[in-house]
Amino acid sequence: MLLFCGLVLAGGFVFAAKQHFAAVQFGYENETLRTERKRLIEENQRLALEKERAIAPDKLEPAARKLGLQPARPGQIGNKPRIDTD
Amino acid sequence: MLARLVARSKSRPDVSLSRALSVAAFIGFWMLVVCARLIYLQFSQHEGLANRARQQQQNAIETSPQRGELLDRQERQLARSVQTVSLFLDPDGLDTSALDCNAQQIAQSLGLKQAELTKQFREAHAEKRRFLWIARRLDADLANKVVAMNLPGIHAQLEPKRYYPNGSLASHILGYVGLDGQGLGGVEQFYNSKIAGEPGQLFLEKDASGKPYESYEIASKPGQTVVLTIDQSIQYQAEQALQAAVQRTRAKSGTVIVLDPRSGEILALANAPTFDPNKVADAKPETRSNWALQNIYEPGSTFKVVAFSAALEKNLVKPDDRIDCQMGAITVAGRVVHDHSRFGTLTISEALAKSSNVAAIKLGVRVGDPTMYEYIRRFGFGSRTGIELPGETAGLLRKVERWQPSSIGSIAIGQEIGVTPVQMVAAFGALANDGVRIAPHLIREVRNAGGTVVYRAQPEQRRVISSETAIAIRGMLEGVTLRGTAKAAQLDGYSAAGKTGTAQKIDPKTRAYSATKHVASFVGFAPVNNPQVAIIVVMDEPAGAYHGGDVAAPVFREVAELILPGLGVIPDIEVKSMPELVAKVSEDPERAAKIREEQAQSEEQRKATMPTVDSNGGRSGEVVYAVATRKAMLMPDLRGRSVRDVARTCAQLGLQVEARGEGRVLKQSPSAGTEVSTGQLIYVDFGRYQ
Repeated sequence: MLLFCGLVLAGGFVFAAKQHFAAVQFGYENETLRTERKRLIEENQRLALEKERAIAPDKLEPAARKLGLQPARPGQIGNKPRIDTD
Repeated sequence: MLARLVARSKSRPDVSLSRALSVAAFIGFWMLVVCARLIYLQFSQHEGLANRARQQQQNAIETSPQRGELLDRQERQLARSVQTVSLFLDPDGLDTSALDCNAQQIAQSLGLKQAELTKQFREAHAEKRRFLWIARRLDADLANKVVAMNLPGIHAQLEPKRYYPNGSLASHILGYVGLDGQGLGGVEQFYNSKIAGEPGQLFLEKDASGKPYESYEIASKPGQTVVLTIDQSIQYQAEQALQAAVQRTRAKSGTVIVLDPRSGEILALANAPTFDPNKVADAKPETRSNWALQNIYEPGSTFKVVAFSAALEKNLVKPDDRIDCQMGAITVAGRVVHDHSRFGTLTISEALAKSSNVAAIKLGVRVGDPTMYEYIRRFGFGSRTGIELPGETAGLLRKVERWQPSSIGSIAIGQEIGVTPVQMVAAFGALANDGVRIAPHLIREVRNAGGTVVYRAQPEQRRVISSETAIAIRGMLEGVTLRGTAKAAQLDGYSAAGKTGTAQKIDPKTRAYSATKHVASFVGFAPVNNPQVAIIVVMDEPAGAYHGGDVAAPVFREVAELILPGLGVIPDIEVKSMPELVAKVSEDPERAAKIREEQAQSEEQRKATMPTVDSNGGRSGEVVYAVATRKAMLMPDLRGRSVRDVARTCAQLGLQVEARGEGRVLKQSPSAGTEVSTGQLIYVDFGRYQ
């Protein structure tokens, strides 16, 4: 009986220790993922900034003019033809 | 064996028992002491010890909040924050050789001065400081080079950095932030408390090697997103046109504001020169000033619409009524004001188109001081517009009780009053919006981090003049562009209305109007019958041509022709392409001659935008005095003038003269530029030059 109780107690300790070390291990992994998430958010912010810089008017205008485009003139503005959907 | 042991124990029973009891007592006492100590630690020292344990195992880091974004009306980003790396030194436990080695490697990597860095490191070490910034807000690539070196005592911390992806675009609206992320100009400053957000905290549990294995975070509260009324494209076009105009005219500075008169929304607000908020430390302080709100200037002829509007609103005149312009001269309280041309009788509409000073003054006098003052206030002059930017000035407008007898003659033609460009464009916005003035504003809405709108602009609206009067004034202002001083503001495909202004600046040395420094302006709107935009162009101290019709009106045309098609506004008049116009001029000599004739007439009419005030003994064009101050005027410079000239000038000014000697003026008292009032006695010494 004493031996059985001792085994149960020892088993409990081993299980608790395993749980503890597993929790610590998950903690490390969690930290790694949190850091990675943060890095990706920062990367996303940097890319969004690059995108905004790339489509800034002072970049777009020369590029558009190089392609032969120019600002719309008054004569190009008119009512769109009405499309009958029936 | 067993019997022998029992026999031995029986022979020494007392000794064993007493030893056992002693050991038990000792163990019991020891356990008691341990328990007592445990109880003491648990109950008396718990808080302190728990804190020490947390300090050893946990690391609390303040996390910077993400500053809110600034967006234009099309939701394009104008300002956003990105996490960057800042490096700092903790010299604790390092010797000087390690510090010097650190300084050398960091200086090489970041391009800093090694001697300076070494000195800073050593000072921090000597003062036993635990924290010293090395470099802040570095780009990730650069910072990672230093972090990878794994130098002792060198630590990295993330800090958000503000970026303006469009560079200098709309910099006077957006403003900029300081090193610690606080708004220091523009919307960044005005809405700093909303944009900044609230910091959070990150708690890290670390193992014996210092490696974090668990964390929990009190999340930072991101700043709110501010959606502006400006349109990035319109802003860009306005800035480009203004920049080109400032270079072309060699002006000291310039301002363009584009306003939607139906909503009061500012679509663009540009100043030149400008600055890049990403490199604000490199910008000259004067380039950071927002002249659109802070520049008080005398509006000149653009202000005449107030007198005309008040007179029409009070039914004192109608647009077709005729007014005698007295062949171009009028005297108000001893002060003579001239027109640029000797106009006889004109209709009220013609008088505005030709920018007659005499007509404007006569209307002002008929309206009367109190009513004139009331309408000036109604149009929004003399008080801040309430635009959401720091540093706005109210302009200069004296209360009517402090007006001099000659004030109405000055104010009716836009002198003796100071306005800001944003006040002026808002006033014309009221004319364009059927007489209802909607407060100009820059903020469309504010959203929290979840995207919920927490503020939506509801600008103040008030009726300034009746709809009928506004429509009549609009028609008259169209005449200014068709037949008057602002033909250069005629648009291709769109009707336009507006008013030119050319004002002399006051020379701070003489406190009199300068003959060489001017403010040229044009303010107008288009299309006339359904105005979509009101635009003001103000050019400060242009070199060469300085009339509003020459300098500012072309910028209005350029901006309006670019943005109206972009806004999808359908042309309301005939569209003429530029190449066709050029061809007609060059191929048809008669047509070319006619255009030259029209240009000559236009030149003459443009002169009307600058009121010439008094004359030097009848010599036209030369200004001998002008500004009306608290004492109504400034003493002219009479030196070198003849007795007759002095007598005539002083008679026109209403000054009494005590003359001594003969010849030309050698001395005068008071001196030139001193404030004098009508009826004051002045002393003039005449003599012959040696």
